[in-house]
Amino acid sequence: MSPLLGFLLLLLLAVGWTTLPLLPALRELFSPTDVDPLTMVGRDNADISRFARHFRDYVQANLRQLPPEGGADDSFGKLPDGTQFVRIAQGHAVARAALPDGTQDRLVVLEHPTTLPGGEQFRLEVWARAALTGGEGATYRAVLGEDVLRLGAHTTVLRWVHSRGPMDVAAGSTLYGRASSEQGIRLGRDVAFERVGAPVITVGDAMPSHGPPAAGELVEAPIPEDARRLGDHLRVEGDFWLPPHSVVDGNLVVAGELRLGAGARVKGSVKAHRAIELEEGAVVEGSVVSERTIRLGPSTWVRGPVIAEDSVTIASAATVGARTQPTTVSARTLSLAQGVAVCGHLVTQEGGHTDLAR
Amino acid sequence: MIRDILAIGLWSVVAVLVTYTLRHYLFTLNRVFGRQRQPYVDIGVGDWPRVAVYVPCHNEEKVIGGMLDALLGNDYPADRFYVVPIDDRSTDGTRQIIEDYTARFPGRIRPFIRSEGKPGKAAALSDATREAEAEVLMVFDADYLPGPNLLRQLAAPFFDPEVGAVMGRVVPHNLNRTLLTRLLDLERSGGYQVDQQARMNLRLIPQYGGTVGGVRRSALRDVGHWNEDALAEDTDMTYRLILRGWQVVYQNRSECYEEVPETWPTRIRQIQRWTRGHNQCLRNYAFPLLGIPRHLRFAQVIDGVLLLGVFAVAPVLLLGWGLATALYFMGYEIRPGLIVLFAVASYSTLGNFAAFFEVATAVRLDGSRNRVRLLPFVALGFLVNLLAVSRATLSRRSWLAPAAAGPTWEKTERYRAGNDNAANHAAGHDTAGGPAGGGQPS
Repeated sequence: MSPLLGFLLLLLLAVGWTTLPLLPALRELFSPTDVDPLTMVGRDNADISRFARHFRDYVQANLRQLPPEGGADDSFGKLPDGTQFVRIAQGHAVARAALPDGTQDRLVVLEHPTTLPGGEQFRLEVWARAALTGGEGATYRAVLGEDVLRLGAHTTVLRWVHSRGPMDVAAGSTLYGRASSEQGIRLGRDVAFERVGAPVITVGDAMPSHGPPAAGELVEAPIPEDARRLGDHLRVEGDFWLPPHSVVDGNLVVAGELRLGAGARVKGSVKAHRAIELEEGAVVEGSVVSERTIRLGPSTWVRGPVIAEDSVTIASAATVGARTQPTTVSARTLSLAQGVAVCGHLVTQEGGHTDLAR
Repeated sequence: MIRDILAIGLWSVVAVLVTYTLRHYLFTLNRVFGRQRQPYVDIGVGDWPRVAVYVPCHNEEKVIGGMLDALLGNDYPADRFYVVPIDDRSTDGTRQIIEDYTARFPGRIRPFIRSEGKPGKAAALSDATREAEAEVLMVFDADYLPGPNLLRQLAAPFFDPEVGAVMGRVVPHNLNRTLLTRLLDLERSGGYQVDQQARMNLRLIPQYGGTVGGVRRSALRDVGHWNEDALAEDTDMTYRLILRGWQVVYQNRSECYEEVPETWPTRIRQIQRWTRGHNQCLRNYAFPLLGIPRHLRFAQVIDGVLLLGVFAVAPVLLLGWGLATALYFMGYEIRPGLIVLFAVASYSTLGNFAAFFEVATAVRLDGSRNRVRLLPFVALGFLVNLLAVSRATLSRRSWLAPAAAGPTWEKTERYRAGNDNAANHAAGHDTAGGPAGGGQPS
């Protein structure tokens, strides 16, 4: 092979190698396949009942397209999009509509108040147009209740559950996804959850307090000498402890840990770069924000929101938010003791649970 | 002797480039493998603060109607927010459109008309926000299109009393127009999806970008309002807040469409304007930052300085080319150990190869399918940035005292056909400081 030919071959190889990554680029440039603007992703994040509303719209629109029902008996059918459903007039007929192994592979519409024996597995959604009382050990893909909804012990909901009336979740249940009620949710013992939203969420038979407990006699909290006032907040470097029954008027930012002694009160919001602990009866009239953990002690009261980047633990008889002013508790993990009342949303990234033993 | 001096210069250039390379890798790997921080994204209900939305305008008749419609359609509690379009000496139909909206939505649209004083966005904002009643002051450019939930998402971080400013994500809408718009789409992905979010994850210094975001009124007053002489009032605000002890927060899911430049001359003017503004901040805040204020961590100081210097990297790179060429012809011998460093430096010859990795990762995180195929062309964008930014950096205006240079209204060309809201899907803009995650030439 002559040196010239070798050179040309080498040149050709180099040019080919260089242009190789440009081939898909040129193809995409001259024959575009991916030129739509990015879809915005954050729209539904904080809307807990969104899936339930969409399901109601979907199923109502599809059922409307079917011919009117002839009688009051159970009926099987297919929605225009091909989804099989069963309309059940009598609760006990649920078992009759099931597969031999006991599972339901149809969308189930319950027309009348129904009590289920338990152990059912619903592979598609359940739409209860009247009160529904679930049995023990049932598994639902999703439930939309138009009235009172009671989930039996050890129930599992895989995607979402929503009720127009009050919702009661019995002990040992697991609520994956979103759980919401337009009136209130009562959580039993050892209930695991991810996102819960209602005007009032209680653990056990708690009642939310209407406002902060009476202040009693408070003394002005001693402020560290190196604290600085920045705009509307006071900034403290290092840890800070508010003595019992002391008060800070305004927002407080602490670069270390923050502890509010029993009965202490902050007339504003608090933020700490490390842990925050509210001892018994402490009150924060604004939000509580920590870059680590938050522990709300017994009978504490927070107007909210409560936001922690790690965990939030709420002890018995504590209240967050108010019926007239719902708020959000957001954390990676969340633990609620008996007697806790939260008005608004509970949101976790890795799950929360109730525990009556505490 | 001269050769040794040049060699030291080249070593310094290599050190700068290696630093920025490592920074890109750190951010990208954090975004892929690190713990993602979005602490305020789940706040759905609360006692929402009162919000005023400011929309600075100078000859925005093509877009202002669409912007006001989008804001009025927002799901933020109607009794908790109002809109303040700021008309600063427009000579087109902007003022008439604003007056029409004011008549139709009394109380919800509260215009602020300027006919004198310093021109420019910073001065207009300074005048308009001085007597603000609301607790949170949001600022949008007139040609952006906020989604229905955006105000709520941007207001949520202000429940944290330490947060002084919040920045959302800018998403190009007109990417199907030219190669440039598609490249800018990739750059924006890298800048926001990776750069800004990684800074948030690592508790560094996310940048308030001034186009999709807000500032707490008490923080604004605490730092002495907008700097009317700032060429990049957003970057200027970021550093004054940080130096004072406030936090700046980035919300990756608070997205807003923008319209990016469709022609290279427009893009070059835009990035040169950002360069001048950024370099002004470098001059003003690098030394205060290097004093390491007690409330800042060392990592924040380093990140803050690197962010300030991001537009100064381009001429440094050009200098490196010159030094390397000169040393080669002067017979400078590269010892084996240096080869590794020069390999890294050459890796950064057009832009920074780590930046390509960052862009590709961002596009992947965005779930895009085929647009990443255009990645080789990003080198073209970096080359243009390199020259444009270098020229702007070396210009007198980049280093003159602001009073001598003087801020003005410098606007990017609008491409929307008219004030038809249905057609107003684009959005876009820029400020002197540019989108916080916008194309960085390093």
